[in-house]
Amino acid sequence: MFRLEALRVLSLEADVYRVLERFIDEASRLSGVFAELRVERVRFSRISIREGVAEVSSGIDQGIAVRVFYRGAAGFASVSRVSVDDALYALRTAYSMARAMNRGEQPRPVEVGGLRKHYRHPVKRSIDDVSVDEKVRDLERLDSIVSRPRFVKSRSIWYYDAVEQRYYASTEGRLVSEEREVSYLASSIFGLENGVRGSSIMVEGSIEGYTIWDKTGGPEKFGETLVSRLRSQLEAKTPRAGRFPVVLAPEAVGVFVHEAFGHLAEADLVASGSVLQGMKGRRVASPLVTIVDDPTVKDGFGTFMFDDEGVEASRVVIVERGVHREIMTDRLHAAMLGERPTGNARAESYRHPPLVRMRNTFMLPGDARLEEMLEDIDYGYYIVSTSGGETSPNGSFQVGVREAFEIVKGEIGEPVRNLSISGNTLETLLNIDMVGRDFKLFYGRCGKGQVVFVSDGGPHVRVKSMAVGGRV
Amino acid sequence: MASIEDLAPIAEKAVRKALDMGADEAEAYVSATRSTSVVIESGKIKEFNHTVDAGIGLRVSLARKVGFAYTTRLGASFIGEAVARAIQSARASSEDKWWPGLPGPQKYASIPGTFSEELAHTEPSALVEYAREIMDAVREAGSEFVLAHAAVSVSASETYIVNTNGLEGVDRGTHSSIYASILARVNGLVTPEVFSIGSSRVSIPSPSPVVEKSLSVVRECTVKAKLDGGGYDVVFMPAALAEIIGEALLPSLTAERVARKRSLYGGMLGEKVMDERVTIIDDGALESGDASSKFDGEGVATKRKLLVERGVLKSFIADTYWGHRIGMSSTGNAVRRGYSTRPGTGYTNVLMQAGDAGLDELVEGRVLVVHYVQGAHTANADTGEYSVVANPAILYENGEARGWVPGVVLAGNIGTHMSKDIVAISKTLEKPYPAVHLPAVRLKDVKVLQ
Repeated sequence: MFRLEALRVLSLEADVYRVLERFIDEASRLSGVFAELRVERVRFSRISIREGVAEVSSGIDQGIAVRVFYRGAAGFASVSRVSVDDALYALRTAYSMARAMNRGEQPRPVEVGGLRKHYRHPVKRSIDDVSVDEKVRDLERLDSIVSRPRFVKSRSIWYYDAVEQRYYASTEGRLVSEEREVSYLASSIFGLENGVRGSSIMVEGSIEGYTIWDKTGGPEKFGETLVSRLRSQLEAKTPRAGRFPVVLAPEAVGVFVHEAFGHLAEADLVASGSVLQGMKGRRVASPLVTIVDDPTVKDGFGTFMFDDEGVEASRVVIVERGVHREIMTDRLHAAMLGERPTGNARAESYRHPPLVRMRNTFMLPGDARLEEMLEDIDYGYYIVSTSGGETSPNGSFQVGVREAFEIVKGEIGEPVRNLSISGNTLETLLNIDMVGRDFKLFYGRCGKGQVVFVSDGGPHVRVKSMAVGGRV
Repeated sequence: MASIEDLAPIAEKAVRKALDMGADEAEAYVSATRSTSVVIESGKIKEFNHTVDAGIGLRVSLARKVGFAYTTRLGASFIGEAVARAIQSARASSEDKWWPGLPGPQKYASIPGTFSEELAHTEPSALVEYAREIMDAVREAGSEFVLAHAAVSVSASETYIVNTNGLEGVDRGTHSSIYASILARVNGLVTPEVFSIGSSRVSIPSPSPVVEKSLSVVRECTVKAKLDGGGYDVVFMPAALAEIIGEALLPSLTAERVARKRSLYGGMLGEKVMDERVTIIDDGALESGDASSKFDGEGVATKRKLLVERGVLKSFIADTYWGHRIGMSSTGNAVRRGYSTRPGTGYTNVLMQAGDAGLDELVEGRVLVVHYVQGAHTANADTGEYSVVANPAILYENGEARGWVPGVVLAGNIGTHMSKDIVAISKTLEKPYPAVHLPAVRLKDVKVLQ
């Protein structure tokens, strides 16, 4: 249904290049300046189904962002329009803001040289080739599955898809652009039975077009899993609080690796004093642990060719066999800390300057089987899914747990209700004594003042001892 | 920046066009915001930002099906396209038998203290001066303190709404905030990063109280303390309380949660649901309030509502749709994040009434004073349960701060706390976050694990 729009976008492509080229011309005339321009156009649909009522929304969001570095100061300007005039207005504004600081104390960002390149991520089935009616019907099938059990009292489904077009130009003669399709599905249900309340949520995503149902096995399977997760919440008992051996399933490992550890390896946090400051080359985890942030994996939410500073996105090995190797950087922090630019600069939209952000962050698999991890645990917890987490720069972390089970004498036992795991991230990584041979990648959004799509994941992992905080 | 004078005629045309194209009702919501900020990282100015953001959001209904579209392209042909997309979206939506229609004409009162011409025209260079004041204040406090992050920001926005039921409103507002996040390194110990924020609608807040507030908590963390078992009462300072109730309690006081059977308080209007010392108010028309505006996200006039009065449930907050679902009128609580989202239910300025305890009474005996919590967003609004890390928790014994206790996990149910576990409520209110005015609360029976 948006085909007409797609054609219009193609014809506008030429206009965007005119804006980019004119920008480079004008910005190059300012002496001593490093300037960059981002142009973004996002064409999206949102579908929500709450208690069976579908609501469809759509939008076209476009704008430009300019950043100017001048004498140690950075000025940023963004405008929600795209034209040569707007780009030049933003350039003048950003330049005058940088000058207003009358010399700053920042290093000049690392430059990566001229390049012209356009990349379009391949799609299996374009979101433009699927009618909104078909998308609504698929989601309604999911809604119908989750509405069946009596204990389900409330249902929500959110679906979002978008064609993202990002363009970048800089005074170093770089003019790169990229296009990808993102789709995202989240569904949550709330249940009540015998006075016990609980809820469950599941998320799926793709950058290969309308493929979420292929990936999840269809609305029926997705819905049944969601319902079974809720059922175990309603049957669950309160966990004991204390320190126990814990086996984390891939979804929980993903959240731990991202929330509890990954943020600490973002260059801005390292610069301001995260526990990883000065730890390069030192042991921070068990030798079984390798953690990477990799923008090149197939179909990850953080998979892209160029970041929002036009830098080639490359794999960062944060921990290699337990030793801290690299951090994630943008151009500025790469210069500040003497690191290589890794392509981790990301902005929520043209309205924001980029920050150092993760992309696809995960632990690499090892060789253990789940049964081996469980077999010598007398009493512990098996943690399947989480409600997110948070870390502090000093390395204290908290991850809320949604779905978990007891481990009793080497077997997965009864479900336990909402709890959290917490502790010191590095101590926990050192406490990992088994890493599974399996692997799964998950999809989500990460907030750090700005929200971006990320993936995380890993194999099953066993932690010798971990603080499990039960709820009352 | 495009002004409302430019945008209002565009919006009016858009709703007329929607009717021409077959809509039963249409609404256009236009917002134009100009914001400027200075960002500090690791004690240095990192960036000076300026954003101009304007767009139009269109909501249409057609045979009780509701569609929404927005665009930042404001030329006539693009608006026409956005109207067509809104109508297309409505056609693809479900028929909603509960759809009450868009709200009708409203009377608006202007709210004092929400706009300043001077603040709207602040010279960007003035922000740099404030940023330097923050950096100087931290430097003067001592070399052990690190200004990890800070920002000074100013914004001015104009909003225009019009619908085909005769509702029309224009509002403008200004806002400024200052934020400082500080940690200390003392003898190999790294304290948690502690932030505070100050905000105002009419002027840039003074940096020194904001910096001093962060520093005072950081100083308490430069000595470590341990728990020796046994029970502790917990004092949730206003920021920690805001984080927990914001995630796990306030959602239950919305009409949406009640309609969807997810509220802890559904069907309990008029009943005593909390301790009688608890009074909770939402006030969208609060003078000088951070979240005050003449009208809400669908044009309904804002007002003050008692939600809980001396422990008795008095009202929920509602937008037109969810209010209708439970048989109440809108309370002016439709919120949206600018033009790009449909309206949904949300809070404006939240106030909890102060109690009668002095700060010294709150910390009598053995208590943990919790300034902020980590992981509040993992709390469960469906159950009221939370399990979070106190960051930081300060151990007090007989009124004396003994030091920071790292890694304290707090678990409980905020619904139960508010009804059964309140020991004392402070007699002073703070504004730990913009638009949130809360006391500190001392609670018993919080599960504490270290």
